[in-house]
Amino acid sequence: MSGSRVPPPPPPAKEFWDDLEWADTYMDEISAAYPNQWVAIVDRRVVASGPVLADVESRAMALTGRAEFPVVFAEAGIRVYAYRPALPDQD
Amino acid sequence: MRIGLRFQTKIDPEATLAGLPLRLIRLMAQVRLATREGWSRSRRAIVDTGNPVSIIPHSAWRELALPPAPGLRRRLRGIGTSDQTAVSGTLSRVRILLHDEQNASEPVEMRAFLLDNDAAPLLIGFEDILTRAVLHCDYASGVAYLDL
Repeated sequence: MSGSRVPPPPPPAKEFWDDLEWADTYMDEISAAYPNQWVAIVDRRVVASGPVLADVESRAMALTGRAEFPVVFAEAGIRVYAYRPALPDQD
Repeated sequence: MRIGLRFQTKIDPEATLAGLPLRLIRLMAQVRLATREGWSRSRRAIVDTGNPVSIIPHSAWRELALPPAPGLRRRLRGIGTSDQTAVSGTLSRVRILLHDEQNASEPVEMRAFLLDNDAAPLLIGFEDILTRAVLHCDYASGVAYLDL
């Protein structure tokens, strides 16, 4: 597995963490505007959003030229994630 | 290695309108997944002590170093989720590291459900991460970290 041999890259630049902080500050507004969507943040603004993470990342990269930026999932309301063991006649 | 975590706090508008102001608080980590070329971009993950196993949305695992072997399939559902809205995933093994602004953990092999779509965020469950880390969580002081 390649990732086990390649040393990890350095942490993202300060801009990444600034944008992440901005996203957390305005998460109420982001969730209201983009409920249950993936949202890319660059330079303290939303630059792409949508239901497919890879598409959002591609559009944000194309628009900004930035290689690494935060993408948040704008959960709407209370969401709980869990797995349910399969019943005998399922799956 | 100590890896800093962040709190994300939102307000539930409906609860506020009902006169019961409610904060929706998540504990968040930044992670990278092992890919064919090395390591993925930094991705945000919910640290969920109430979830037994990690889950990874489709877009995040499709670039992994190893394609998922045909494995155990499960439907994932939370409280109130119906069979129709449950998402499906395949249990597999991935390599992951957690990081913050300064530090990165050693890579960890973890079991995770690889989702068929992107309908749920990346989530760090208990098995393989929280079973081997010490979690410090102090919301009042805004400090949280994993010793991993």
